[in-house]
Amino acid sequence: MSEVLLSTQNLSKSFGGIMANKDINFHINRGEIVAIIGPNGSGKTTFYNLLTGITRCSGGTITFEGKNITGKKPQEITKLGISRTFQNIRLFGTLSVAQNIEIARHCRTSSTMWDALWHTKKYGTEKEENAEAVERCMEYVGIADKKDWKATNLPYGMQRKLEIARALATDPKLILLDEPAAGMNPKEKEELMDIIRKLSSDGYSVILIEHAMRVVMNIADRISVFNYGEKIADGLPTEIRENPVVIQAYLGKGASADGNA
Amino acid sequence: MKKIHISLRKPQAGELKANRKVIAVCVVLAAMLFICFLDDFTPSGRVIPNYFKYVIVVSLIYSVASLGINFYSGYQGDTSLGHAVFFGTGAYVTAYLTTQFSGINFWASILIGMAFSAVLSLPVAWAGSRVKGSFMVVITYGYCEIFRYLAINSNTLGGTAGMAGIPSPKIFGVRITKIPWLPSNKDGFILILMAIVGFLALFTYRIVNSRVGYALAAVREDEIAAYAMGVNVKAYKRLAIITSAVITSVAGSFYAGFTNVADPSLFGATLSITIFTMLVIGGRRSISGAILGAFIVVICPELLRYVQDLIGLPFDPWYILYGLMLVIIMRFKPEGLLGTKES
Repeated sequence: MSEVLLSTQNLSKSFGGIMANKDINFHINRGEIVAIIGPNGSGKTTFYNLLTGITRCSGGTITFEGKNITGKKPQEITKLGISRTFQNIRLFGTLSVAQNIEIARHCRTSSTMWDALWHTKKYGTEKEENAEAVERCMEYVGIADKKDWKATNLPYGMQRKLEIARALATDPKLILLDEPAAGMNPKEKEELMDIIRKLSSDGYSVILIEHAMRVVMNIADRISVFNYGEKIADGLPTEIRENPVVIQAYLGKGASADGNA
Repeated sequence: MKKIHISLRKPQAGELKANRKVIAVCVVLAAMLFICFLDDFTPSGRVIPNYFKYVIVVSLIYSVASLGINFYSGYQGDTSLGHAVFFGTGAYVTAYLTTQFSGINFWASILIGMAFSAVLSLPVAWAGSRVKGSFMVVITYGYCEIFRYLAINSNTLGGTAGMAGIPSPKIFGVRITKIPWLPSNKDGFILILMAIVGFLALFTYRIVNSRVGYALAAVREDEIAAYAMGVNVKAYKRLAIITSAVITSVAGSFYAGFTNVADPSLFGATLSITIFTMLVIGGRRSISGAILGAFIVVICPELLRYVQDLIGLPFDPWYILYGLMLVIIMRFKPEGLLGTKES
């Protein structure tokens, strides 16, 4: 049953002489939640940027649903069904919550200036569909009561949720979450974990970059560990917790060997 | 004790605002028509001076330009000090075609001018996909200076003197300036330009609230996030500048058809800044604001010139007051008179 949704083969990215990502072989199955952890600057966000086409990779390939999507433009990748949130929240600040989500419907609609000017039938049906989708996505993450709020006026935790709602509105198969729990209080973190579990049980695959270990250990089916742009470990949460290479990456050399650092 | 509920449905805030807008539009429309036709009903002589109508026509022409730049500097959000390129292109294309080739139809020359402006906007789009912000200001400024010098040094375009003798446009074989049932030679222009401004207002309103307008908003707010939402950022930037250029070009064509001359100052940075100022004063991303801004910037100097004559000032007070007005508006209403607040 475990069908591979997305995989990368020897994916690399160098900025000048620095290898931000080096020969990364990664995969995620349908409906799976995979967490990516690693110290700051280990290339996690770069990896996301490569997957979504925002930066071009210097080597390797990305395969999504059996098709090679390396070098595709970001808007094409979104249309194929990969959607993401951002570490430093990137909402459309001056617009309302509902408008933020409606913008995300862009890749699933196709009305042109002509349709908009004459309010053609297509324009009408798309507007209705969008309104439904907006409603559904807001309820999914629990911000339906903030519909007309300006995005920048939302509390921090809700902005993170709005980003998830917005990602969801593009009808993705795979959602990439970049530190969704950052800045959230314990209650919000609980709610976030519920949302991610619900996503997974509804058939979405989720890749999650996260520093909050309680969140990661609780919900991830599998964990990948990055360090200095390389993937150094991959496995079940329990395996990763015990893995000496991982402990060394996080705590330094002395700590891992015999504990008398 | 029984409570009595009186349910008077309170109108929603949005509804009230919309009603107020409709009323405002009707009032302005009625006022314009009144100005146009009043002299038809006054038995002797002119009540409304022709000069006043001239000012209205020029205001309407600039309203078109201001609505044009709104697509680029308003909805897409990049500053342009180069929209005179498109204004001048419209004017010169109309001037050249209607005077040279034994008079090509004015309306056809508008369309050709629009096509030229669309092509000339592509370099700006190309630059805009690579740099942004203050760099674009300098690039667009430089771009319009190129065209000014081309116009000055080109003999076919009349050099510094520009091109004169552009015929007034005809509609159904009748010159706009000589429509029999209109009291003056300006009223035809007022009616046609009002129709164009009205159409553009509707056009802008509907586009802005559609998928296309939302995509432009996304590009303006955050390009990276726009990409992630599946918006083709470069294509939409191109769309914004082309739409903007095409509309501004129409204003230029009308300017040539109305004043009967086209000179190199129509490519000048001063005109670019004027068009941009109209938009900022009125309010970026506001349709009524763009129109109001154009009227303010055109009418105020004329009004102050009148005041100068009246009290016999030795200098024109406009330039001082104009600057002062800009400073005051930007200090107290940075979003423009009819713009919506950000943050």
